[in-house]
Amino acid sequence: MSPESFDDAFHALFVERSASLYRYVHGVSGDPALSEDIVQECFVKLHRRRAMPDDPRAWLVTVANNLLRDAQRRVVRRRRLTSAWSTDLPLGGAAPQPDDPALAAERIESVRRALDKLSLRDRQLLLLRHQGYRYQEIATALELTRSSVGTMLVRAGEAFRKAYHELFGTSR
Amino acid sequence: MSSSAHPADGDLRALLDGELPPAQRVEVEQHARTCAACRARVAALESAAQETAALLALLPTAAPDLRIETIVSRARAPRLRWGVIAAALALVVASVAGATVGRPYVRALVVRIRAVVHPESSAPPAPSPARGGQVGVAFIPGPQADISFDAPQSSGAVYVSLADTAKLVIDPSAAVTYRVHPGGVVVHNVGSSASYDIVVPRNALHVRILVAGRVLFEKAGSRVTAPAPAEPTGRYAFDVR
Repeated sequence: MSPESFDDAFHALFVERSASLYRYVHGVSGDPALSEDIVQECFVKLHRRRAMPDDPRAWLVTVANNLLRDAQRRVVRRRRLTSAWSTDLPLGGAAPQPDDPALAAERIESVRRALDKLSLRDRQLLLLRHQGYRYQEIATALELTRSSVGTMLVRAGEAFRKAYHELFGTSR
Repeated sequence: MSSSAHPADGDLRALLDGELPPAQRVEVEQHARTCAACRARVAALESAAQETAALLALLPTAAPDLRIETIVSRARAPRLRWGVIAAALALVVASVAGATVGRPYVRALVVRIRAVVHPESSAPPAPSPARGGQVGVAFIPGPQADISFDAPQSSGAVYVSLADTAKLVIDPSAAVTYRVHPGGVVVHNVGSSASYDIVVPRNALHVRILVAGRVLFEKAGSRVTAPAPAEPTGRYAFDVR
């Protein structure tokens, strides 16, 4: 690959994938600053490589996952410090309205916590699929067989929804 | 899968996602047409997948304004390599040993290691004569490093970036000549219209950029003084005037 064609391919991949890679990493980690650092580092590593991998989208996810694993211990510690957040929401009073900002915030927090209750693998599966990654890309990035991705997605989705409804309740 | 066996949930989910290989898709679709239980299962899996997607869509979607220029600049910045660190440590040890013992082979070792640590600068660090036109220069700055341009330029700019590197790098757009000395480097730029990318190690203690003796840029510890504030990328840009 000539330097010019690498630069063109790199630019196109950055435009196409940087935001969705960020959303994936943010979904897994819950940490905006860490996610931004990781996405930048992924593209820095790719640029230093000066050659496109066979499957660039899956390659970026693999690198991001490795960086996430390195940072996981710090993320868990940080989240423990902030885990009391949702209990700070107003308690009692009038029944919440559907567009109640506090209720919306609680719902989002429940999604976040439900994700955190999943195994890292299940979280990665759901979030990669949610960001539009194909089964083959997910299989490559997570070192799975392509034929097992559907089954694992079904199971991960069930675990996620169960955790969410336990946290947020189904009566609201 | 035989035509009478019910497809697994994973295959039905792959069918919904359009991810089933063509031959298998035909087989599963044929089965589902005649199997009410599987059609109900497909509907249930679709509903579950939609609920999951709707919940995940609640997560923040705004991505920060990632800039490709920052990434390319970081990728191109020289990296501190373990080989250089090891050579620098060896230089300290060998220098002490050389000063203490003063044996010829120790002095020779110091000179050789110095050539690794300061590959672009002359060793020993006595003032060196101007060299022929060269594209760039890199050196490890001492406690104070001055980058002195001989003269103002009618065009051309200096772009200074701070980076987590060991070496100070001057990368001009056109060849100029340099004189490296223990206190920094003199850039012989008379008549040049080049622009200069300069990477300054973030941990450098004191770095100045001067044009005809006038200080335009100064980094003292973490404090930076420049003709204009840093750009959003963190880079400082100013004319060679």
